[in-house]
Amino acid sequence: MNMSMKLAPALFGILLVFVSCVCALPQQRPNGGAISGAFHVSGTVVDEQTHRPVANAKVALLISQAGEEQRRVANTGGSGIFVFNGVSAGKYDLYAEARGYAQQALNAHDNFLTGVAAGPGKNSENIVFALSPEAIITGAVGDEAGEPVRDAHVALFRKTNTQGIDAVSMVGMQNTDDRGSFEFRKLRAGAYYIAVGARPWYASMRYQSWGLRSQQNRDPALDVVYPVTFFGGSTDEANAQSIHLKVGQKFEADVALYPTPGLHVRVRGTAGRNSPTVTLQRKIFGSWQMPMGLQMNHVGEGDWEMSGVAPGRYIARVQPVNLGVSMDPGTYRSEQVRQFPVEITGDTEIDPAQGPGVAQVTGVVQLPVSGGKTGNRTLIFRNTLDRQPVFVPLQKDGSFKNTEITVGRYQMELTGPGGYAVQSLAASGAATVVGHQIEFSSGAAAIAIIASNDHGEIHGVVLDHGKPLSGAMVLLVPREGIQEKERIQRDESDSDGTFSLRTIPAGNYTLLALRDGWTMEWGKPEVLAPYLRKGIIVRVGGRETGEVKLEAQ
Amino acid sequence: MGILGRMIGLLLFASCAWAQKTLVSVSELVNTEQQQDVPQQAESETLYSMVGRVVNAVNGEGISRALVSIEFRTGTIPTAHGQDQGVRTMLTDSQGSFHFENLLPARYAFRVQKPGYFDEGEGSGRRGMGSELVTVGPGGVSSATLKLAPEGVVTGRVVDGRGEPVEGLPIRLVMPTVVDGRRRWQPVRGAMSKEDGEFRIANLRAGTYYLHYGPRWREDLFTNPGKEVGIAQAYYPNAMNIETAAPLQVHPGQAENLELRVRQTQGLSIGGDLAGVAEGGGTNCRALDEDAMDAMVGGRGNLDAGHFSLKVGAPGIYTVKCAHYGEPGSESFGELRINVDRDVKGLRIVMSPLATVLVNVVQDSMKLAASAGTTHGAANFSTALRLRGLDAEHQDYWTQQDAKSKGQMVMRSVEPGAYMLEANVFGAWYVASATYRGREAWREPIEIGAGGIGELDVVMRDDGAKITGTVEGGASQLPVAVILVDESRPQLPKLLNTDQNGQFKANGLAPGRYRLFAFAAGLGEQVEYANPTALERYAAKSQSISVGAGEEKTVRLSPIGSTQ
Repeated sequence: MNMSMKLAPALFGILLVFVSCVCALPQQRPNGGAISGAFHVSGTVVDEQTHRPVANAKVALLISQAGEEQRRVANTGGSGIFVFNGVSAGKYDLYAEARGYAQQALNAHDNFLTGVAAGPGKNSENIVFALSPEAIITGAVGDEAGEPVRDAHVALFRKTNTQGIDAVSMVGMQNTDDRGSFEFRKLRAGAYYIAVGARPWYASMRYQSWGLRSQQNRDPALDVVYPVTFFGGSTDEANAQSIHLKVGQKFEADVALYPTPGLHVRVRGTAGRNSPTVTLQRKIFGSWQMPMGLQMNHVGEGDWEMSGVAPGRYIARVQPVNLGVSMDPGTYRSEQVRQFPVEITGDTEIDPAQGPGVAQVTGVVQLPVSGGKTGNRTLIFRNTLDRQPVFVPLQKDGSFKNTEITVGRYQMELTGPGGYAVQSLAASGAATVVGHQIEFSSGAAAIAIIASNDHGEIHGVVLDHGKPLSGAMVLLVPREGIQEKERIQRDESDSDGTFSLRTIPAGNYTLLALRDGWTMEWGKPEVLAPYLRKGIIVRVGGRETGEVKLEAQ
Repeated sequence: MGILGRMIGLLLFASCAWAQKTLVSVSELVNTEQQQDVPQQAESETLYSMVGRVVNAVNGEGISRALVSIEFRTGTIPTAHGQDQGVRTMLTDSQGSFHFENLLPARYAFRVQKPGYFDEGEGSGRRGMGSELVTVGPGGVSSATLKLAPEGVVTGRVVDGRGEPVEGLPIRLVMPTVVDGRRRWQPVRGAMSKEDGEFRIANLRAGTYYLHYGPRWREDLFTNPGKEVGIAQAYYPNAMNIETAAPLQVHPGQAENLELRVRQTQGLSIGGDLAGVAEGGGTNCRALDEDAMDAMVGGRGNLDAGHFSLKVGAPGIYTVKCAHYGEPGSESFGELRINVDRDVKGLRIVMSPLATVLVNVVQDSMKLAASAGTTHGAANFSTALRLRGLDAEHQDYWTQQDAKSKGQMVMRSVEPGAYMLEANVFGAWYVASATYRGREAWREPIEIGAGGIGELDVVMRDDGAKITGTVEGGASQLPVAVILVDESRPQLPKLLNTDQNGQFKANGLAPGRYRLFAFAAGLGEQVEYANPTALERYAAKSQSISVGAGEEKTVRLSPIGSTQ
């Protein structure tokens, strides 16, 4: 079962502690006691490692009905046992937490969980809810003299299996305290990385105190920076040491920072009134942006200089002054932010005019004849490099003209009424279709997009030697292959073995269920190929709903 | 001994090793003096050295890796020497010592910094200056001991009635601070209790603090719908207000460890309807305690439909404040003070529309009139006007006149309440008079009622008077706070600082009688000068002076209450 989008973030340990005003409250109103019926959901919360009952665990039972979240809460007391009586038939999400354990959903994998089916002939009792004890990473950040570094940014990254490929994503950020200490709690087992960013206090304090007007005042001994440093001492993320955290483990990850001379980056022609703004972003593991606190100095001749730049790979962002002035649909000229990677190893110059060119894109989005309203739709060009969107409002006939798009590869998305999604792409000029993405180069480009809301659903049950199997990974793979991960759909089978896949664009697919899919790098073609051969071929056509029996592999 | 003498005494030799090191520096100093005819020096100036040590003010130990800055202030112009352009900095060595070579004879500002330490003088009137002036050269000093006071730390653990740790409780330290001449309880630093209930607040100057915590409530997957529990806001230890709270003495270099025992509560609810809320926009209601602190431990309401439902933690007197934001003209505001001793339902808060203030500025130039031989002349320059809320809960409203506004300005969405008018005016201009809805609005507070459009008429003149003055002994290092009270509107005195020569000036003064107070560095920051009663006790040491239109007078003041 797919985890409720509203609840998924809570699993990352975000406490909903309200200290502000009423207006900040989400508008979902829990409706106590609305879950009532003749069935029972019960079980025991146990420690995943010791299999002993977990005392004083809190268990929440949720159901989504008619768009409204309904919820009941139980406490396991000393026995670890939870009981929800008088439950109506349906499928429920079950969550649990306890002191020393992170909040978890029942048998959770990625964004999926095993839903609990209650009803006639369904076994919704004697559930074993295994909670894994929290793991903790603590540490201290010290400087070159071994003194604590205060207010250093410490970012925690986790290697995750998203869409079947290992990726590294940021899972927490803290600032060190006066002892240089940080502590990440409620962590799951897995591979983690730590990145630390800070400025030497004596360098930054000096800037604050005296408001240096001229760079000549700079004392080279104090004009130093700390490069972004990873646990293990590397300043290069490719060589960052990973922390293999075991369930319940407490790991100490001290990081020492060593200064290097602060580099100076001159930005040409940016001091005038109508000149673009140039910023440097330091992205860690391609996703999270480390705050750098760069100092800008006017150095005359119409130029600015950034001082205190640490060596590393940056993304230079050039923001035009007249950003987004014209929002006239159809003739939207997105004076968009241009960005390009720069590797900074020494004092250097950036020319805002450099970097990738732009494509002048004209195009049309075609809806089926029966599509009805064409207005109020926006085409989204999502840059595959940084996932940043460019929004292009469409005219009533679905067209747009002369939109500037920075050179690069884009995922095309469509928003607006009717649930239409991009079905097929065509391109000419400075644009090439690559699967379900478009690669733009400099020059004039024309694209045509056919959108469709022709979606089907697949419902079924995963079987293990003929008996329903819960917790299996169900994969729906386009017949073209698995190159386009965005088009693969997944689910986790519920307590009665059932699963559901919704909003599937029409086409041919292979459907399969994997017992151990959650730990498998199924996103690699060579890993998936043998299983794919044994899958069931399904055809999803106009709005049909299928019922499938699927033997797990 | 003056402040200079207190801060920078002759270097005391704490150990033999240290003494030797220093002596080497001193002999280098002599060498430097002898090398005054080195060819690359254009002028035959003598160069000097400055040696010193940074020590912990509590235990006298040297502090390594402290950043010492020395900045040229006045004296010989140093630009002849390439390296001497303003600021020089260095980190102290492992013994805490520093030395600067090749200094021209001049006055320099010294400053020392290190995380976890405070410059001893910084807290007392030199904030912003943050430096110590020394004279280097003939008759000056060649060594200095700079003291840093180590920070204080407050740590603790929050537990509930059963001794279980409490997570996510906001905690802040407050201290009485004078802001714009008014005493305020200012939050200084804060923290949030962690999963094990622990909290830690560092980087504290020595002093008296009060610990305020809460409110907190938690609504997540695991709270029973409708049965959320919260923690009411309170002062340590469980005091409802600051008068009954226990002060915390924070000492330099020491950690104070507390146990906060808090009570979880299901709270008392306050609910009702809002009358007169316009369609659209958004509404926000808050419950504040008697100290105007946020007091909500829960609650929500379908505010769109004009209902509110809030929870407070304990019986007491609360103010429910609601504001509706939306299109200009539809915005409204309402509040209700209520004694809560049980759940309260069915309240009705009548929302009043926010007011619009139309400002008409007449610039009545006496100078133009004189040159043109007429009785009035009109000028056009930039003026900023501010309505300053007299009630701490009311915000301030600004408006700025520019060339386009032609003397017409608008302040929108002004909450009903009492305000004083303030003006930022250029040169010799001053506010000669102001009326709001025909009533005096310059010397008396302006009462702004609900809704509607009120006209504020401001007449400005350019024949302002000028008072200049000198503070005795003020030519020392630190600025002296001079308070200038317009006796016709004592609610909003002006704060002037002396320059490095101990002089001050105020121009653009309306003709009338003024009273002047000079407060020694440190005291100026503590005096509630905007409170006429608080100033009264210093009246004997103040000076009163009358000025007429265009007149200039000079006074000589002696500073009140030096901190030494």
